[in-house]
Amino acid sequence: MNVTQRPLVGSIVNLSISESEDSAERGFPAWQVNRVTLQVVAALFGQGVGVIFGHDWREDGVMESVHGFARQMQSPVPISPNEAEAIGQPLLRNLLPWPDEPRLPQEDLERLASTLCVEKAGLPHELTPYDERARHEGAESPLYRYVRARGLTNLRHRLGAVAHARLCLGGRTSGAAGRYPGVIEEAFLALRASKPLYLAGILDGATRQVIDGVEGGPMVETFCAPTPVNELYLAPPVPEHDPGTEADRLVDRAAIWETFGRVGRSRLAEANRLSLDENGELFTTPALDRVIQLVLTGIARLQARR
Amino acid sequence: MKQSGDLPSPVELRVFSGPPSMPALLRACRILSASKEPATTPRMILYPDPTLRAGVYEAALALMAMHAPGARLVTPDTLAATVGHTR
Repeated sequence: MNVTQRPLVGSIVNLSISESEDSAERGFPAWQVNRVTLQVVAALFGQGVGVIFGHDWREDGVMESVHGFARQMQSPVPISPNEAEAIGQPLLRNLLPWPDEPRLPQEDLERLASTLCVEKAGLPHELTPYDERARHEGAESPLYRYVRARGLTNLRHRLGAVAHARLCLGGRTSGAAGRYPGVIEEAFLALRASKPLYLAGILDGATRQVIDGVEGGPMVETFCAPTPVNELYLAPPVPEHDPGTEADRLVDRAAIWETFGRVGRSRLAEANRLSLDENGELFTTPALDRVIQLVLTGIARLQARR
Repeated sequence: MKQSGDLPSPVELRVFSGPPSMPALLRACRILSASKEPATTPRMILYPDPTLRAGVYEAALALMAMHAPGARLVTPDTLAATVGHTR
């Protein structure tokens, strides 16, 4: 590590943070969730950690603020693309699910390229030929909804491939456009692949359900409750035969819950390098500062191992 | 922070209640480098998060390397972010 570099430069975290059905009751209405996002991002950027989100810039202005932090923390000295990649720059990345297009105009994206990268995640190879037809049939059509759901899973795989670790806070437990609520699928993919995953229970919601599963609790009725999108997986509107995506085409909430329980806190801890007690504290602490410290500690241990 | 083990003990420490200016940092460096504590005692300058912005951060570290070599410039988050290298 260069003596003038921030300590965790080169690390990238996929941040999955959003309101849950019960976060307002816990004292976190939407504006507070945005504030939590900003505090977490500022702390990560401050230590040199890059952040990747699985969505575009939103209307509420939070991403503008996040980008403002990236500009404050990223070195203003121009560097080569190879150097930038080695140290995890640009600090802020947004990966968009199919069929979303970047909300920022191309000229803005080019102007901000040193600190921001917005990319489209695309579709699984087999579904690429259905792209135009799905758009043409419209957002309510079975084809569009199925391809959108598969695109979300594809996005989550790509996020996992880019990031060194994933941090989940809150998340809705229902109303998902994908096969499972986003945080739950992201946590599942991370745990299945033994990728470092940090579960902070401060905002409850889907993250709390994952924590309960990891802790061996009984599956609640609201966990990945069946949706109309799930029915499309039973009789997909398009054929897929790639064995590499077979697991992504299954919908089985009991199997997901069973996976969480089988992984348990011990394997979660092995992967994220926090101790069992530290993970337990992350599950329950209501103090955001402590959440941030624990996550930074885990990332530091991961980086020391790399 | 000493009680929780976030800070080593003993430690030769200078604490700021806000982001330090360069002149203030220089004064703190001089105090640390003139310290009579054994050379093995860690020397630190602590200030609250958030960390200094780009440019100022690098300048502060360069100043410390020149005037208080071996001393560390840290925030509570920086201590958490370097724990993996030391524990």
